Amino acid sequence: MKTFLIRFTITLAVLTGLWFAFSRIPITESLDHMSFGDFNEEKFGELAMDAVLMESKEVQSDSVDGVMNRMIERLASGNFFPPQKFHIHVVNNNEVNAFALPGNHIVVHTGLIYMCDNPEELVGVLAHEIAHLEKRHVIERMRTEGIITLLEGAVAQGGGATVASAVGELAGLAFSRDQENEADEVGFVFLTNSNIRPNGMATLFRKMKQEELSGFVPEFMSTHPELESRAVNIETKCAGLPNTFLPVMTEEEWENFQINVRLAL
Amino acid sequence: MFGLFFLNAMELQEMQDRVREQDDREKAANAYVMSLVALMAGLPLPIVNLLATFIFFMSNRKSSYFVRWHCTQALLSQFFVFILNTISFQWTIRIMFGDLKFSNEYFGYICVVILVNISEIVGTLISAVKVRKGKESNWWLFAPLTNVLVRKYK
Repeated sequence: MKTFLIRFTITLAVLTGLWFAFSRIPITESLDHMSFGDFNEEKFGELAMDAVLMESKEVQSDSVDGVMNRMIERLASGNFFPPQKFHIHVVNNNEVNAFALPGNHIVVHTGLIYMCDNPEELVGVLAHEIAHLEKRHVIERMRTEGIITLLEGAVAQGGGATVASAVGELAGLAFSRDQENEADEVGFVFLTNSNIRPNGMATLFRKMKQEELSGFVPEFMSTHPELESRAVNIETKCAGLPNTFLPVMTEEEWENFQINVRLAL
Repeated sequence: MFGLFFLNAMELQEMQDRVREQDDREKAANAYVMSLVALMAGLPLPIVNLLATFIFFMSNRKSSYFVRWHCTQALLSQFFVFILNTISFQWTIRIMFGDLKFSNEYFGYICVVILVNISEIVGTLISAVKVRKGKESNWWLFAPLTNVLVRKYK
């Protein structure tokens, strides 16, 4: 029996090793590439951003960009992604919305910035969107929703407007409940790794819930899992954490940021 | 002259032993062949080949030590593959109809399962041929456990 147990353990170790080795083959990335055909993710992201900017004007302000980049740098400081990887675009739109696009673009509406009462809430949204990108939810969703095929067809027809319309679908792209939950989970980890208080996510969810009850359903939240349960999940996790978080910025800096967003319009 | 047609008791015994031995070899070899045929027929449902081997094992549990030993080894190997195949089957179903998505980990696991299944098929074929010739065929992983289990049944 001892011989069997030893050999069984060796076999399991070898099989696990093989599994690990085979898992290193970037097959999903290759499939993504195949799905895109002549497109690469960056090119697709650029097209998507063009379509977004046709609808809403980007806020052109060094101080606003500076604050957004600071937030990303802070998030990157405790995690494994370089801050330059993500491109944040603040666009003038009163709709409370934020979304991720291929090519690591994150679009934040001014309406969302106004709704946030502190920087932790906004960083929470950024962490959530980065999690969507890092987990490749955007590409996955595009594939399942047939947007890639739509875009390829539009390009084949050669119409810029058709391309824009196909790409426009991305902004309203609804993630599955599991993807949203995963983005919450991963976003939470990003925040705590960077020593940022993750309660901001929960307070924003509650605010969204209030808006929902008052009849205004923010577009990007309408497809998300129940806000109340998400807020409770975050709060439950926060309860077990030591209170050693550092603020993202001072209250004054945050107020100046919101004023600068308004002035830049 | 009639001696050519009538065997004496010793010769008869020898002949009976030879026939029994031949019969045992066939039964033991069939334990492997059975699992192989059922494996082909049972795909993609992994339970079929395990069930077939188990039924064959049960029907031969009162056979000679040689037959029981090889039936047990075939059953153990099938059980091992069954576990791996069941996981891959469930994983695939969840990707196709459920909440999981195609991932590098899934791809890696399927590669391992394919390798194990190919090894299993090749090993089974080799064992069936060897056992049919009356030679021993001890699998590196399962023979030690088979030794333990079959002795217990004796």
